[in-house]
Amino acid sequence: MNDGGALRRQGYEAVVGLEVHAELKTRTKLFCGCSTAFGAPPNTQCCPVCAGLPGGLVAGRLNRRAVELALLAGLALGCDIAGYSHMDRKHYFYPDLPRGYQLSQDGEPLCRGGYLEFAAAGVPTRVRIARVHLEEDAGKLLHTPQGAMLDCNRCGVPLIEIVTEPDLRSGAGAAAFLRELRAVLLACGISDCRMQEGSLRCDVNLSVRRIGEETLGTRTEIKNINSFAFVEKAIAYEAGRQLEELVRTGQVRQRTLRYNPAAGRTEVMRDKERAADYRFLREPDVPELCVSRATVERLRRELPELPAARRARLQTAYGMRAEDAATLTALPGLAEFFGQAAAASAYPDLVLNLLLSDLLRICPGEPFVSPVSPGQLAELADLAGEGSVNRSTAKRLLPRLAGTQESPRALAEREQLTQIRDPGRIAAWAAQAVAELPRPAADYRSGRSNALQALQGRLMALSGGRADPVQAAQALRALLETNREEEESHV
Amino acid sequence: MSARREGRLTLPALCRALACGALSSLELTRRCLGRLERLEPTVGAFLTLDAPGALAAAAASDRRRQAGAPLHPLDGVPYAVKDNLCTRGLRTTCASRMLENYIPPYDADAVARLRGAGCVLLGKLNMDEFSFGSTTMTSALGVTRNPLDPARVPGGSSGGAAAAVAAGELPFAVGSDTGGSVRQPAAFCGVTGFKPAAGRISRYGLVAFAPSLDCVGVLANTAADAARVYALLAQPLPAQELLPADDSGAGLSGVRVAVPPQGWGPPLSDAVGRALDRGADCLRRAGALLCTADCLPPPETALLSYVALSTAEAASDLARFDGIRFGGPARDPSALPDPAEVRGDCFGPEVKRRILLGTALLSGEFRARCYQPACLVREAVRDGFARLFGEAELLLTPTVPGGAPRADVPLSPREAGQMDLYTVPASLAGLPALSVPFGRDENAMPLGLQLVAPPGREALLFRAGAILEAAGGWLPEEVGNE
Repeated sequence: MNDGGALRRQGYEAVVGLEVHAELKTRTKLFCGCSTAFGAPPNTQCCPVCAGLPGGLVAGRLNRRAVELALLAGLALGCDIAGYSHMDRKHYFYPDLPRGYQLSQDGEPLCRGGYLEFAAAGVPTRVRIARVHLEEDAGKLLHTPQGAMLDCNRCGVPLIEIVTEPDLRSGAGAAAFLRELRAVLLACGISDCRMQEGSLRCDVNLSVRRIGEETLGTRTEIKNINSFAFVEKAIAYEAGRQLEELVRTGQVRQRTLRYNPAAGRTEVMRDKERAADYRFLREPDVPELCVSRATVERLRRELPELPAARRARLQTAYGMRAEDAATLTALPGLAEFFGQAAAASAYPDLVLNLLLSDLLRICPGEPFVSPVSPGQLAELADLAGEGSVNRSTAKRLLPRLAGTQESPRALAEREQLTQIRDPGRIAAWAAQAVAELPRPAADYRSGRSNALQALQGRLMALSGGRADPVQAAQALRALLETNREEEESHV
Repeated sequence: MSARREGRLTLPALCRALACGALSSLELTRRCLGRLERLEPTVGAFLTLDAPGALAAAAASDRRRQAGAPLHPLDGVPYAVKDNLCTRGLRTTCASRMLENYIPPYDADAVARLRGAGCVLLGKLNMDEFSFGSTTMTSALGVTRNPLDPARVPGGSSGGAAAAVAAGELPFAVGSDTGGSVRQPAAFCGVTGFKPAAGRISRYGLVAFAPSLDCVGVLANTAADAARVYALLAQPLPAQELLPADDSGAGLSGVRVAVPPQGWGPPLSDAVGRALDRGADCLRRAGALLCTADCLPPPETALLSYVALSTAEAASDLARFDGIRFGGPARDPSALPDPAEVRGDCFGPEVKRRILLGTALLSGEFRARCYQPACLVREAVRDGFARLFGEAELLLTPTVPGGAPRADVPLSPREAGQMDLYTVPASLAGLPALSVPFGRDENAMPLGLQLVAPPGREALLFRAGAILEAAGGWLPEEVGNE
């Protein structure tokens, strides 16, 4: 279903709000010292506290770093920080929730009332953030041949939930928001945002209404989507489905859904005729959280340059395209690496080109860890820029520098890869190429100028790829045109 | 007095006997086990007895003594804990079918502290199911009788702990007190019960009833014994909470003791009124200045607040018993258990009643109409005590409105709740409180007097308790190293 287009043609729009869960980058859990490392064997990273054993109280321990990271997220999103907040028990029965309640924040979240600005399909967009609060993750059900099994390793891992106002209007917009949010969380070191490990997940709240209408329609909630592409597709599908339901039955039923990526559609998890009553209870065993002004100011100083500011700076300073600035900003460590290499080189545009089209291909991991130093990349860009090696040689040299401390210039010289610009040697190769390929030579002389490519290819091959391509073309042209004049004079 | 009963040993006598070698831990433990064997068929204080574990721990203690390296003055002293304190490798049931076969992988902090001091754990003591009750009769796993009159209840919820101490089966026991669950059974059984200030003894490993009110407490023969165990459990302990080793002779000169005015709570029975007057007089003769506690909210209001807060928290705490990990073998291993089915099978009627009430109290409009006002009442009770302790150092009240009731006359929830009337205010305010046996009711069953102090005045609390005990008629006869 075409995102938004079909809806708008019928006079409707989708109204979308997101609830994003991001796992905080802490070593230990929210209320105990168990490790948060991903991928350990089941139930090897839990204790009476996080596994909810009888008597396993959360008393007296709260992960300070988790609170600080939640506050950092609030500051990065321009939220107001609550001087006072507390944890609440949110009750519901689910097999992966060992205490029967999740520790979360209801009435007094840590952060409220921020916003995030980004470009959706080139259009500047602002989405308001209703709140950012701290909570704990649940466990994981594993379905095995012996039956359903519960893995408590993830129980109690600190999360933030970021709740937006219903400011989004399309799947593409939601995906653009999420990409920007991810860049912010990565830049600030708040979360690793590894979607395949579930460390960033998203619930979508969606309703449709006639364009121009102020009130919101009945919404459905699509739970736990773990890819931006699926968020986009789920919204497109669900908006169309709701409109169809609205037209057919006159109403939309409030429901909780899941997105089935294989079928490309949303499916009913449960009917939700009235709002769930979570019977929030202030957690008696966790003292209130008091955040001092001094703490807020200290954390504000800890905030790095945010992606939007960084993109603007890169575009202004280097004249790069918006897409390239976005790419540099999306991966933690990448923009810093570029900055160092570009500062050390006389050819920042070549640095950018080698970085984005070549270096990223050989180290696609996250965060960005380069196998060459910024200095090596800068020197390589300089070699290409000043013409000491040609572009394709520079690209071939890059993997050979990986993991070495070697100077690119020294490597190119030792391997005899530097460009040859001696006019005599180039003229000799030109003559040999013309002699070996008489037909293209004749074609060129009879006016088919693109026949020069074959000759130039041969010349480059004769030079072992080292001839300066500009000089090579000039030499061939000069040779063929001189011959033509001679032939003409003979007639 | 005939109320003095043999077989009960106070800790100073035991510690002396162990220290000088007159008694070994093994002998002492065997003597407790022998007494248990004789008395348990009647008393029924224990749900789980760990005789092999106790004998091994006692032998280890004796080896330390022989090597001249006891871990603590209480090294080798037997004790037992209420069955809601987790014991590593030893079944911990909360007297519920839900946890009938649950063996915790860890020790509660209080148990670990006692083990670390070399004390000998005899086993686990009966209680009301998940502490929900005032008689120990809601236990799904056993019946405990009052050792002073087996036709009567021991009180609750730490009824097994009170009965075991009263029967002389052990010198002290550790229980828990949410609204009076240590102090009330102590009063019914004629022993001393201490509830510390909120947060002074770690609750880690205590299966929660209502975390904002729960305390690990001590049941013992005397206030001085309770003070010794408290000093071990509540570390680090500031000096003003310690009772000096020899406190005898220290009076209450100039200490202001407040007594509730007429009309605070329902009219007292003759016996209770007499006990309170005699107790106040006894403190006055020790040098105390008596005054009237005018600023406390009515205990009936505090009780309503307590019921709302404790049941709301209890319903939440018991949510973890969803049938997946607890509640017996799965009926169909290939499918996830149905929480409603398992909870229906494994929880007793009182537990179900409180879960329903507590769930309702946090739902919809009840939250604003009942739960939130209850929170405000708690604040008012705290404020009242804060004002009171600006004018006095101690509060003296009855512990219970009467003696232990008969086991064959069932109590309505309201009647059972009335037994918490005088103990609940100190729980809501998180204050240290001590019940000492004092006087008797019309059936010659013991009554109790309760002393409440501001946090940090525990030593004064224990001293005043000892003065009341001496006049109360229930002190155990020292049989020493018989």
